[in-house]
Amino acid sequence: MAQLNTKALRDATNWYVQLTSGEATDSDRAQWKAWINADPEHKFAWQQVEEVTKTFIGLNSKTSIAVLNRSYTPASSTRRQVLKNLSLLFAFSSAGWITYKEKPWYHFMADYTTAKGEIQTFRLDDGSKLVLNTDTKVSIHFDEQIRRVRLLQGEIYVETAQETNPVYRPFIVQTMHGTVTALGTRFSTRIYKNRSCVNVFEDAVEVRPIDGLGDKVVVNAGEEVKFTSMLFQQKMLFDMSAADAWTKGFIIVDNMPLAKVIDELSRYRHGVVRCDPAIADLEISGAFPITDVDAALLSIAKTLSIRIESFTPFLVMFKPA
Amino acid sequence: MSTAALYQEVDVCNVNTITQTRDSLITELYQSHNSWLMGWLCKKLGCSFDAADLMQDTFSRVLQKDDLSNIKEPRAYLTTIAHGLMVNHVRRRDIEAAYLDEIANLPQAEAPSPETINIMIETLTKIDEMLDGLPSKIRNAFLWFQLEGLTHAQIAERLSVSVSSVRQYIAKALLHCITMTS
Repeated sequence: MAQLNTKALRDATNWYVQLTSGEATDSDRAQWKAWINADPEHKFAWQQVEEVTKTFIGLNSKTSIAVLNRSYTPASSTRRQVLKNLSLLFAFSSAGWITYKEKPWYHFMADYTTAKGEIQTFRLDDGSKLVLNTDTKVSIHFDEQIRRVRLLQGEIYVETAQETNPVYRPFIVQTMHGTVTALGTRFSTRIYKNRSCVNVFEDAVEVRPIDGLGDKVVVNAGEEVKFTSMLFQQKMLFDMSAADAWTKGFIIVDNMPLAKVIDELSRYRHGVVRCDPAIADLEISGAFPITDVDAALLSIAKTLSIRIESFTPFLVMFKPA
Repeated sequence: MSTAALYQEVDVCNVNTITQTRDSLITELYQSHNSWLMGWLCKKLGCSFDAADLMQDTFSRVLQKDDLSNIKEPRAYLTTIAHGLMVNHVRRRDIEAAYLDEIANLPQAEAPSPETINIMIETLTKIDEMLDGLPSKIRNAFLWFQLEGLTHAQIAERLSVSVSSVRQYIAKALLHCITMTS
C-alpha cells in the first residue's frame, strides 16, 4: 500500500468541499486542475477522494440513512468505547454490565450463545441444567455467595440443582429488567423488546424489577409474570405443556392468530417473514417443528389455504389466496 | 565465479530459508491452535457455520501477513485477528437485518431484486465501516451531504453550527473515510 501523503489528502478533501459547495467558480476549477497536475501525489490523493465519494452514488437516501443510523444514537459514544474495551472484557469476562445496552456487542460478553434456529443444553458447575433457545446469549457468574446467570438476549429454561456448596448460594437469573430468584425449581425466562417474562413449571421464583424500589412478587408453578425494569404485570396462568415444548424442538400453539405464530416461528429462522393484515387474525392450532421452520410455514399455508410469496429466502410474505 | 554471482547465490539461499521458516511457522500455528481457536469462536458465536467460516478467514489473514517471526503470543495474536473479523461480521449481520427490515414493507413492485439486496448490504456495510469512530455531528453532516444532497447551509441549520464548521466536518469525514479504507 502506498504511503498516504497527509498534506496532499487534506488539500484534496478541501478541494472536494469547495468544488461541491455550489459556490465553485471557473477560477476555482482551473486552480484545482492545476493543483492535480502539479504533483502525482496530488493526483493520487484526489483518486482516494473519488474512491470514497463514489460509494454513495445511487443510494436511496431514506433507506440508507435509516439503516446506517440503526443503532447509532448521538448520545452514545459508548459504542466506540465498547469496541475499544472489548479486549479488556475478554480478559475479565465478569466485568459486566456496562455494555449491556449495546446490543450488537452482546456477543463478546456471552459465555454461551446459540445461533438462530439452534437450541442447546448446558450443565452448569453446580449441576443445574440450562437450555438456551434460539438466538440467545448468557453469561455465567458463580462465586462464593451467589450463582448468577445473566440473560443478555433470548430465552432460557433452567432446572436448578440441589446446592452442594456448604454455604447456600441463591440461584439468580438477571435480565436488563430485573432479577428472578429460584426457590428450588424449574422455570424459563425470556427477554422481549421492553420487558422480561418468567414462566414457572415447578415450585416458585421471586421476581424483582431492577428499578422497582424493592418491590417483589412470588410466582408459583403454572403462573407467568411479565415485568419491566420498574414494575410487574398481573400474574397469569399459562399452558405448561406448550410453554417448554421448544426445549424438545417444537412450538405448540392453540388458537393463536397467524401473525403471532409467524412471529414465534421467525425467531428460529434468518430473514423476515411478513403476513398480509387481511389474514393476520386467522387462527391456528398445532405443533410445529422449529428445526425446519420453512416446512412449518408451508404446512401452515396449506392448512389455511393461503399463498406464500418469497422474493428472496430472506423475505417471505403470507398473502390471501 | 564472480563476486556478484556469489552474492546472488547467497540471496537466493536466504529467500529459501525465509520461505521455509514461514511455511513451518504457519503450519505450526495452525496445528497447535486451530482447535483451540474453533472452541473460542464457538463460545463467542455459537457453533454455527459462522464460527467455521471465521476460523478459515482468520488463518487466511495470517497467510497474508509479511512477518510472522515476531509472534510471541500466538493465541493472543489469533484472537486479535479473529476479533476484528467478528466485529465486521456482526456489523454486516446487523446492517443486513436493518436493511431487510426497511424494505420489508415495500409494495412488491418496488421490492429490490436479490442482487440489488446483496449490493446494498455490501455497500452500506462498507460505509458503516468507513464512518466508524466519527463523532455524530460529523457523521451526520457527511451523510446528509452525500445521501440527501443537503447544501452546506441546510446542514448548518440542522446542526445549529456555522457553514464553515460544516465545511470542516465534511472535509474531516472524508479524510477519516480515506484513512479507514486504505
